[in-house]
Amino acid sequence: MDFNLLTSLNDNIRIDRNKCTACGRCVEVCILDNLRLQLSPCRQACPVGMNCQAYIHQLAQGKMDKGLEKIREAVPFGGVLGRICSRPCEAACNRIKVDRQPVAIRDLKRFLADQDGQPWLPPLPEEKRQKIAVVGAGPAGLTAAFYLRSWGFRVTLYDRESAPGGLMRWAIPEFRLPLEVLEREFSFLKAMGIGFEGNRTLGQDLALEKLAGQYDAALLALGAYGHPRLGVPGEEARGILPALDFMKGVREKSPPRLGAKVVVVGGGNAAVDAAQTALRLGARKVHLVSLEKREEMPAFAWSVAEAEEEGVDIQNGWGPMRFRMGGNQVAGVSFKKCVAVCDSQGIFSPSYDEKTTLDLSADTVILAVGQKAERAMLDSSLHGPEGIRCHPITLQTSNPKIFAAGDFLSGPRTIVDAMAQGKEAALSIQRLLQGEDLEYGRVNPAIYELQFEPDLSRAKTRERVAMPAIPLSRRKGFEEVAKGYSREEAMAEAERCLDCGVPFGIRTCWFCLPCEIECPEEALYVEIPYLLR
Amino acid sequence: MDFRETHIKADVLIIGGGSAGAMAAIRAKEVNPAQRVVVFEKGHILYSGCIARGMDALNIVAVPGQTTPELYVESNGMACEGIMDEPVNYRMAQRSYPLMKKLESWGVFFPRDKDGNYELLQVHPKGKFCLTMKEPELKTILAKRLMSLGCQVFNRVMGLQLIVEEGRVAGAVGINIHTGELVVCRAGAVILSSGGTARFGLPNNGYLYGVYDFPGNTGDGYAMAFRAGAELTGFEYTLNYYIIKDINAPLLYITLTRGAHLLTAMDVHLEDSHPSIKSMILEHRKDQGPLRIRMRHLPESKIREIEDILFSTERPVQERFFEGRGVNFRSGDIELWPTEYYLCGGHGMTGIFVDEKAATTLPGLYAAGDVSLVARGHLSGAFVYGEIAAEEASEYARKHPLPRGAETPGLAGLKADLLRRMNQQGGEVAVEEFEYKVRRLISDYVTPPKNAYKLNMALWWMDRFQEEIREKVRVRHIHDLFKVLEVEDIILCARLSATASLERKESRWGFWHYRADFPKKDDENWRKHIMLQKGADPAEIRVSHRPIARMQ
Repeated sequence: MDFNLLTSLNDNIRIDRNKCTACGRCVEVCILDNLRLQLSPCRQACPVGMNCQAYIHQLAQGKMDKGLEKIREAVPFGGVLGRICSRPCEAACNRIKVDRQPVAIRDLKRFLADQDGQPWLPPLPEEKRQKIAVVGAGPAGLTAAFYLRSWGFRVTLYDRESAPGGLMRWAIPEFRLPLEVLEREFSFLKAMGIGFEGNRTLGQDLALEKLAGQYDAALLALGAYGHPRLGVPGEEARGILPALDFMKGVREKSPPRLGAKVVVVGGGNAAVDAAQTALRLGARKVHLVSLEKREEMPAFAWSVAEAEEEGVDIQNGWGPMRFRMGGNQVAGVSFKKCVAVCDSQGIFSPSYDEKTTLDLSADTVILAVGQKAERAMLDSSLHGPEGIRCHPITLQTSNPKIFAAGDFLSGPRTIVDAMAQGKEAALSIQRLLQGEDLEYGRVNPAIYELQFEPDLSRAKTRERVAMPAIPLSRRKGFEEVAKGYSREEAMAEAERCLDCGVPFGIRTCWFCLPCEIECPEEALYVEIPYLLR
Repeated sequence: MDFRETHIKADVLIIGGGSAGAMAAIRAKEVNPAQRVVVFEKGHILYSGCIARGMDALNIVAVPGQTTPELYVESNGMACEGIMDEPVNYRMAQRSYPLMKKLESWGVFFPRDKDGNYELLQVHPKGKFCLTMKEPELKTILAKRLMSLGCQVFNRVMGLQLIVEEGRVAGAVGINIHTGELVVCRAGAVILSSGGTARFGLPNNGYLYGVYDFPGNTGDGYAMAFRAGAELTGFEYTLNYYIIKDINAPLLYITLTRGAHLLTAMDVHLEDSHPSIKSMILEHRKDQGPLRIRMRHLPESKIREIEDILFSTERPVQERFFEGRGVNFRSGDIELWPTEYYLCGGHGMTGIFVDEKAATTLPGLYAAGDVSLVARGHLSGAFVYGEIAAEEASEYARKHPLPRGAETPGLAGLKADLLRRMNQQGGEVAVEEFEYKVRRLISDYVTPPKNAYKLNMALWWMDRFQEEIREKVRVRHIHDLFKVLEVEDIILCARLSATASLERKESRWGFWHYRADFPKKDDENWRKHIMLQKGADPAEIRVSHRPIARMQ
């Protein structure tokens, strides 16, 4: 609480919360800096700062087009995020305080994104003469390419695979993220005239020095597709596959032959995806063996539950000890009990009880034990043991023309994190090429209030609407498991939102009215301050 | 808060993106589209300054065939009681009609009758110069235009300090009032257009921001110019207006010129005695107030016409004010009352001294609008001199390349000072409470009726406040800091005003510079400008006199 002479006055700014979407336009235009915005926790948690409150608000009122617009103000990939985002927003949602279930923010995003069957194209300004190379067409690179092109720059995307998408295209299985969604959401590449050069690998047939010379700026967004070695006997045996190679083969429509018994080693999303994919490819028995305890598994809890429902046998707390061979083919895996995954400092350093073991027979072993960024192709001036030398806000490396974003920069994180970094890097590149300061004004916490009590009295009693899924019997092929909400289901779920964010005045109002005039929802009314009324 | 620096370059830097500043930005790009024009704007350029929703008129337009610039000079000279530089005002009147036509070509609406004539009203002693305008989007039209021409606008940036190098102004340092970042702009020429000091005295409604003129104007430009060594004038012209009680919104000329009646509290009619703001204040001081505007006798069409302008342009919030008071123009009266005292070059005669090229006494520094003295120039003065300042500043920047200094003079000291202020986290007094006290004492001692005792007390109090702002006031974050900087500018303006008032040992301009110890006007000794300039000592204000400039 913050009392001074002014804050004890009545706030003359009246907000109709049935109309307000907390877009912040009023705060932006107030000429006396009188307005601040209580920022909803979902928006605070989102790495791209998406105004989830706004699109859910519009959806609840049946304004689907306006809701979709709100999503697109943050990123052009509502359909992708609406299916596979890690949903930090939901973990922060105030609805949890009402009935312990957050609003289905991600599923509602998917609903809105799927409304528009048409590919979306923002208007293109006059083309600028500057050219930018984006290396890596995953979430970070694609997001950066989209924004840079929408600002008029010429963009060429390079990728080691034959088509863009990164892990979204080449790892995440189609039963989570259908190809047609990707094609719809990536169609801007062609429509906006972004060049794509596939099958080009940095350090092999693509040289960074050449790129830096040919282009006015370059963004490195290669991702983290390398995998660490386990250092366990028998690791070279046939029938042992890294998970990303396995998943890519499936997406290329030439999956490796699987035996009847498959063991997946790992506890993250790649492991779960691989396990569910193995079942669909006909494996009779699939084990998922994770170092972590069930509740510690890095994979999304909802995915783990789904895998278990489909019949994957999950074993927690085991680390691979050795691979048993049959000739030069793998025949099984021996595990030792993992006592703790992290040490007392929280650093990954598993400790084991070698005497307690588990043996599983296996025809195929899929290793999903982590990803790492391969940075050997970079000049040593750009990176060190700590990672890429990069400004934390602008993402500019020690070479002013070169920027980095996504897993390549920060190690394996989430897709939405990568998109956020792609957007920031694009903004930095724009400023660089326009001769502007890269860092100025980018961090502006002053206008937001982050800690506040939500108005729980506005909560309508309603249980979270479950996402309809195809029955188990239909999960033989790669049909999308989550079916998506119907319009009625979406609107019912959207009503659970508490509309937490709202603007308020700090009592330096001159009642000149631009805030009222600029409000796109006519949600704001300026009363004459009480002292003058 | 580390006050991170952003360094930029401009050909012309404009500090203050209101009427004068916006017009200057546009004009600078018109005269040289290739030059780099940067604007510092403390609020947001789309609506900032006094004309957020337009104004009901351009007060000074010398329409050919109706009036002449010569008549304007004569008429305004009377209104200024002789303290008016003729060439500066002549040039404004000369360019006023082309300026109006230019605005019209940009979409600004000036109503015309069925014969195509503009509506001209008399608000000066002689001549009808006041041309009705009905354009609530005036500011947005200008803002969008300057942005489309490629001007680089820094919103939320408050000008802090001019950069002076090798005897000329070479840019300025501003601070982003949200992030605390410093914007260091080296520029070939600088135009100050940051308005007057609207938050000076306290308004009767007791609300710090309930003032008549735009409350974001806290004399920042006056302070920057003074601290850099430019000459300022007219600080003894402490003025107030006589307009709608409590809300301090204007409506006198809009109504009187259309047949409204003006009554005292005792129902004596005054509308036929050429009432002006000045005369109404004197009437109020003779205990005849509050005066009231009455319109119930007017035909419905006239009342509608008045409501239409009042409720759409300038302060459209008036509609809800009257509704809240139960006042309908067809039956009720509008109460008028004195506003708070303020300093202003547009409404009054306080400002940075400029010649007819908008040039201040510092090379490379120009000024336009309420921050400058183009006596009672109002909006027309702001627009015309915004243009002139842009023309002259562009020329200066072209002819005088910037010194190649590696360091920005004054920057290190400024930054150290800001850091020191951020150590005031534990100050016992909130800046809002402090501002209230400063302005209360300004109302007590700096404003009329004046006498030497009160004016010297004002100086004593301002010295004390200048110490307390460092020792007692709490600065928790960037918002507190920028309020502290605003109040510091207000304190300086109070010192300048008290000093100038002490110097002018006579009374002039109705009650506005009324000295009880020198109650008579003394044209023989005081028909001149009182000039103020920084002395060698930082606390010193050097006073001098300057003759009135006449037409050749």
